[in-house]
Amino acid sequence: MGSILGGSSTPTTKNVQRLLKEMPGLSRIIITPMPVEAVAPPAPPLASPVSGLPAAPANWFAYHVLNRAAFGGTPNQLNAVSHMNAVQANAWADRYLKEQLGLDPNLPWPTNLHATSPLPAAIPIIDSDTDLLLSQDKADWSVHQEDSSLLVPNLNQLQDHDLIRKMHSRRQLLEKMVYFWDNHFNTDYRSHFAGQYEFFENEAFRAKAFDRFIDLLLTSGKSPAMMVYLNTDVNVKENPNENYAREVLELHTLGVDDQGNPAGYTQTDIVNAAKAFTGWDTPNGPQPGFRFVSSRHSPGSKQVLGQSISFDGGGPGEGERVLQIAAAHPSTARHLAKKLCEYFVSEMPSDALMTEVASVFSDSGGDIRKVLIAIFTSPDFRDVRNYRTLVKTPLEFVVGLHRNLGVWSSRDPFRSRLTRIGQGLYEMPPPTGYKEKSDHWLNTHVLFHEVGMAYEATIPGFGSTVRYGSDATNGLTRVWLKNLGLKTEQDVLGFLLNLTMDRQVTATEYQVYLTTLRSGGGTFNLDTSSVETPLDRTLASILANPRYLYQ
Amino acid sequence: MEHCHCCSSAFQKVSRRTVLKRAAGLAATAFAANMFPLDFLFPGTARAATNAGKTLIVVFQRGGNDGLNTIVPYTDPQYYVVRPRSTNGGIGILPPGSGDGSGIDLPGTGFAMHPSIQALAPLFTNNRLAIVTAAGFAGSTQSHFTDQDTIEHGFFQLRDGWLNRYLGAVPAAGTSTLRAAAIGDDVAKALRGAVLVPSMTDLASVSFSRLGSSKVMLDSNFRAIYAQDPASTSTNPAGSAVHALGPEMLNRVAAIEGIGPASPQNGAVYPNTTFGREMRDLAHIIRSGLGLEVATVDIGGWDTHDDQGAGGSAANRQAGRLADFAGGIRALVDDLGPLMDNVVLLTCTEFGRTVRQNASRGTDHGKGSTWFLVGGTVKGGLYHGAAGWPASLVDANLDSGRYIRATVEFRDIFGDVLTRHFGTSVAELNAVLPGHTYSPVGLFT
Repeated sequence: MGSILGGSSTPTTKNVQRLLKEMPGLSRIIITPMPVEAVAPPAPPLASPVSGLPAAPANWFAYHVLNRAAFGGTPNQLNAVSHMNAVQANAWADRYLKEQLGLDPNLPWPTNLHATSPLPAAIPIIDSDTDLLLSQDKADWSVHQEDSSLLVPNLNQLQDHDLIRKMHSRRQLLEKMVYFWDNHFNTDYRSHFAGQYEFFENEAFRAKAFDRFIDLLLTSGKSPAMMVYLNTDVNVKENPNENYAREVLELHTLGVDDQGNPAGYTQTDIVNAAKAFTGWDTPNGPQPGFRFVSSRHSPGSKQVLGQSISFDGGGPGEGERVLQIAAAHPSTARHLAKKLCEYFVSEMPSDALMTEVASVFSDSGGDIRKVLIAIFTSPDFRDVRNYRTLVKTPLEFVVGLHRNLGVWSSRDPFRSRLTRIGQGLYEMPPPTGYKEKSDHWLNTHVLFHEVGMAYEATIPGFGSTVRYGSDATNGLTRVWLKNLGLKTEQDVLGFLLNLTMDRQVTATEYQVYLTTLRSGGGTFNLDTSSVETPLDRTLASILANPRYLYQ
Repeated sequence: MEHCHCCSSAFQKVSRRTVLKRAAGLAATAFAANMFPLDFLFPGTARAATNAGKTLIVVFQRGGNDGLNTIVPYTDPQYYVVRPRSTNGGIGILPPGSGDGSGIDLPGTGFAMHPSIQALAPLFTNNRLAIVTAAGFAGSTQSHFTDQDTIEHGFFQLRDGWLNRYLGAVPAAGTSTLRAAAIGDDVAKALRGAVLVPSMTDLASVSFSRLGSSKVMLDSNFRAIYAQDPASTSTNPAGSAVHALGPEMLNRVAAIEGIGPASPQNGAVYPNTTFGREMRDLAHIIRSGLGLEVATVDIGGWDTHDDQGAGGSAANRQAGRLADFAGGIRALVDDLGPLMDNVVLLTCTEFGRTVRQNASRGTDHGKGSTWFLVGGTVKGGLYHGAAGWPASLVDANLDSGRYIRATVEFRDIFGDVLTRHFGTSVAELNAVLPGHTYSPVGLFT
C-alpha cells in the first residue's frame, strides 16, 4: 500500500507518528494503520462545491467497501482512500475484501462458487493488539462460584466486550458476520442470565462465521443459550414443547413468504420436528455445552419436511437430521440470500442478485465464504447506485462513530444508548433478532438517540466522555486537528468530511459548517482556544447530518 | 392463510399504493402521502366528526397471552383435565374460594379472573370492563410475527397499520401538537404507514436542554441541513423518509420538554416497570392537552412455552406479566379519572395458546384469546361471540382439537371502536378496514 500513499517524510506524517506514540491503548488500535499499511497523511483541503450533492467520487468503491464489509473506515484508512484515484481505490478495495475473506490478495477471485470443491484454506488476519485488549477486558469478569475455571461476564460486560471487538478488530468482515449470525440466531441474555452461555455462543459463531450454514445452524441449535431461550431443554417426549421447532423453521431456515405463509413447512412439520428434538438439554453444571437425555426422547420415526427420520435408539442425531434437512431446503437458500443481500448490498436487493446468491448457497452446500464472495463480486455490490444507500443500524452507527473518528471513551454512554434505542446486544426478547431494513426501526426515538450520540461525542457537558486523538490532546477537537498539522478552514472541513461523508457535501451544508467554524469571531486559527467551541459545534452538526446515517 | 373479501375497490387502491411505494423503495413515508394524498384514495369521505377530544390507546400483549388462564372457565370440569390444578402440579387456576392462588369469581358467568389481574376486578364489577374471551381471526398461521402483522395491518397484505390508515382517512377535529404517538422505542406496526408517527419513551430523558449555550446554533444548523431537498442531497431511495424524521423529532422533543414531568393524580399507583412508566407517561400526555388521539403501548413476555405457572404461590412466567399489565391499566384509569370518559383503552394479543398444557408446564401457540376494553362508553361484561363459549373444552369443541376457536373477529372489535368511540362514517371505516364486512360486536352502550 505504501507506494500508493506516497512518501512518509512529510511534516504532517511525522506529526501523526508522534501522535501515535502518545496514544492510550483503545484509540491507538483504531488509529494506527494495519501492519501492512503506511501512515497516510490527512485528507486534502476541501473547497465549497457550487450547488447540490456532487456525483459519487471517483474513489467511491473504497469508501463503499469500508462502509459495508467493515463497520466503517478508521481515520488512517479513510485518509489513505482520500488520496486515491479510481484505479487505486478499486485495487485497494479488492485487496481489502480478499484479505477480509481470508483469500490471497495477489490472486484473482475464486471461480468455483457453484461447486462443492473447497476454497483455499483461509489466511488468518493477525490482530494481536485487539487480542491483547480483549484479554485485558476480561479482567473484571466474575469467576463462577461452582467452577473456578469459568469466567462469567454480566450483561454489560458482554456488550462492552463485543463492542470493543467491533470497534477495534482488524477482522472487520468477520465481526460483521458474527453479528449477523448472533442476530439471525437471536437469544436473549435475560432468558437464562448465564453470561458464559452467550459468550460461548458468540465465540462459536466467530469460529465458524465463514463455514457452512449447517455448521452455524447446529452451533446455534445445540448452544445452551438457544436451548434455554427456546425451551429445547424442557422439550420432553410426553407432550413436546414446540417453541424451538417452530422458530427454527420460521426464522432460522425456511422462513415465510411475502404473504406471511410458511415457505414449505406445515404445523405438522413443527409438531414432528419438536419430537425429534426431545431429549436435547444443557449439561449439568455451569459450563456451556450439550447433552442428550435419552429417557426424554420421543421414540419412533418422524416425518419432517417430507422425509422420514428414524434412528435406532433415538439420540441427538434425529434433531441434527431435522436441521440438515432444513438447511438444505431451497427456501433456506432464498431466505438467507435475501437477508445477506439486505445486510451488505441494498434494502431492496434485485431478484437477479438474490437468485444468484441463493444458487451459490445451494450449489456450494451452504458455504458461507463462497456466498460472501458471490455478493462482493456481484455487479449489484459494485454498482454506484447502491453507494451510501443503506441506513446504518444503531449498532453500525455506534461502532462507525468510534471507528470513523478514532475516538475512545469509557464506552458506557454509547453501550447504554444502544439499549435505550431498543437494540442492545444480547437483549432482544423476540427470536426474530433486530431487523436490518430501516423501515422496521428507524423512527424519531432512534434519531433522537443517534443525534444525542453525535452531540455527546462533541459537545462538552452533554454527557461527553469521548476523546479524540490521544491523552496529549486532552480530549480537545482543536488540539487533535492542530497536531495533525491542519491549518485552514478548508483543511479542517476536508479532513472531517472525509472521515464522515466521503467528502460529499452540498453548498448549503458547506456554508452552515463554515458559518459555525467562524462563529468565534476573528481569523480562524487552531492555535487559539476561541476556535474550540465553534469547532465542536461544527463536528456536531456534521455528525447530525442525515447523510451520516447512511453507509 | 385466508384473506377474505380482498377485492373491494378501496382495497385495490391501497394495494396499488403499496406496490408503488415498494417499487420506489420507500417504506413508511410522508413522501408517499404527498404522492398519493388520501383524498385521492378515498374520495368523498366527508364526515361529521365526533372524534373531538377523544383518545384511543391500544396496548399489544406481544407473544400471545394465554387467554384461558386469564379469564378462566373454572366451572368446566374439562378445564382441570387439560390443565390440572396448580395444587396437583399443573397450571390450572384454582376455583374461587380455594385459598392461595384462587381465581377471582366473575359472578354468574362461570368464569374467574386470574388472581394476578385483581387490579381489573373493580372495573368489571362496575360494568366498565369489557372482556372478549375468544378474539382472533380465521386463518391464523400461529406465527407471532405473521399474526401480529395481520392484526396490526387489519389485513396482512396491507402494509400500513390500521391506526395509521385511520389518521390518514379521518382528519383531526382541531389543532393538535401530538395527534398520535407510539409509546416505546418502536413504532407499533398498527401506527406505521403513510402518516409519520413519532415514537417516544422515558419522557424525562427526551430533551436536548443539556446542550446549554450550543443548543440554539445546533438546532438551527440541524434544521437548515434537514431542510434541503432530499432529492438532491440524499443517495438513498428512502431519503425523503429520513429527511422528514429530523424536524419531526425536534418538534416532538420540544413538545415533550414543554409539558414537564409526569405527576400521577387520584392516588394512582403505577407498577415500577417499563410498562408502568409508559402508561404513566401516556396519561401525562393525555392530560397535558397536546391533542393526543391515538397511542400504542407494547407489553411483552407472553410466550409462555414453559413454566407458565398459575396463581398465588404457584405464580411463574404469566402471573408477573399479568400483574404488570393489569396494574398499569388500572393505574392509568385511576390517574385519568373522569377524563376516561373520552379515552378508550383496547388490548390485543396475536393469539391464545394450546388448551392442553405441554410437558414443560407451559402452552404452545393457539388461536382465540382474551382482549379487553375499558373507558368511554364501553359496556362491561364478557363477550363470547355469536357462537358462544364451548360447553366443555373437550377436543371436539376445539379448533383442530387443540385451540380455543376465535369466535369474535378482531376487525369487528376495531369496527366497534372506530364507529362508536371516534364516530367514523361508513366510508371512513371502509378506508381503515377495506373489504371487511363489519358486523358489530356491541361492545359499547
